[in-house]
Amino acid sequence: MTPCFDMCHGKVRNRYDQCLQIDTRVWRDIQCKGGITGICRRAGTVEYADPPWITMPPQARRFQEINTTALAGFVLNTDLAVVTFRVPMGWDGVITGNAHRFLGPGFAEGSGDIEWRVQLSNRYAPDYGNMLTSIGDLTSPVSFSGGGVRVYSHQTIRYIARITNFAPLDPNGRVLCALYGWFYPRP
Amino acid sequence: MKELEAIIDAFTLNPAIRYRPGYYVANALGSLDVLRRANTYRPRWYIVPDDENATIPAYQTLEYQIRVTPRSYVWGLIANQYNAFFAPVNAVDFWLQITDSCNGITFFSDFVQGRAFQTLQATVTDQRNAMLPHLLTQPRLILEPGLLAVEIANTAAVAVRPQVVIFTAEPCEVQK
Repeated sequence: MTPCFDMCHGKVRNRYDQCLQIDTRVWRDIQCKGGITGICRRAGTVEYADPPWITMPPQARRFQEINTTALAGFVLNTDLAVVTFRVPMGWDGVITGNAHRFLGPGFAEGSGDIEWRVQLSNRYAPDYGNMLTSIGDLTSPVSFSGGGVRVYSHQTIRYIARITNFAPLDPNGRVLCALYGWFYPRP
Repeated sequence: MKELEAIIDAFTLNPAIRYRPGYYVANALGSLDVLRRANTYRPRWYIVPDDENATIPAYQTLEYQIRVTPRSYVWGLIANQYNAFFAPVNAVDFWLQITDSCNGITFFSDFVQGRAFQTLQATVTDQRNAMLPHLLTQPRLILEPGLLAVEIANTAAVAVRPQVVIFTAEPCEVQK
């Protein structure tokens, strides 16, 4: 291996460069053998033919987290988690579908009177941080953008709603949130 | 046995760094030793996001991919958040994750708050003593294809203007 052009200000390779070269070679070898997880695989480790967040494996278990909260339970301009659950320890998962709506008259779609968001730990799921219209129904949930969003062991998932204007909403109404998907044992 | 020559670089000349036993920065610099002594690596900083996407809307996540020279080492990070007048503010509204696209392994087990890598300190005196940038415990090798996926999530109800600097050492020698 020889330099094609001098970008190193005339400096030549020293023994530390050789160390780094060895380091690169070692990591390339590890990569070729399936990476750290491939090399460290032990007997009993779960293996999947397809990515388990795309094709549901037989070991997986489905979840349907559905809940409603009465309008009276909300405080103006304050987030309230209608659905909260935690990914089981040792399992990862994928959220594949969702539904949310206001159960009762008075909600104008896109008005901003109600905001919904899906929170994964502290951040919001991409494209699901600020939804202003109803999505899906309990009988027909909508597929998640991008085919799903992955969740990880012991992560807390929240489906949040916020009321920004109570006036047009039926005071006896309820806010519905639902998340669907599956958990699978960590590969 | 031949004694190692002292390294003279920006770290050695930084009076803010206190070389005391048990101090994180001093120890992390020790793990950078080989890289600092190598001749065929040069510094390269990557800035995320670019000017066009400098502002992240409320509750949104910016997904960004940067192309680094394969065989580069990532060794440090700085993250800052700015207000509309480009004055630094506490970086508590955005969360960061970096993934090496070569193997899909993330830098952090979950998104980490920008404040963890911020330069802004509580007082001007603290600022003077800041030991920057924030060093990784060990430099992290990025192999082919040399792609880093950077995700910055805004958790605030308003748009934020963050900036993340990723410090790398890239090989300056082209291998055939």
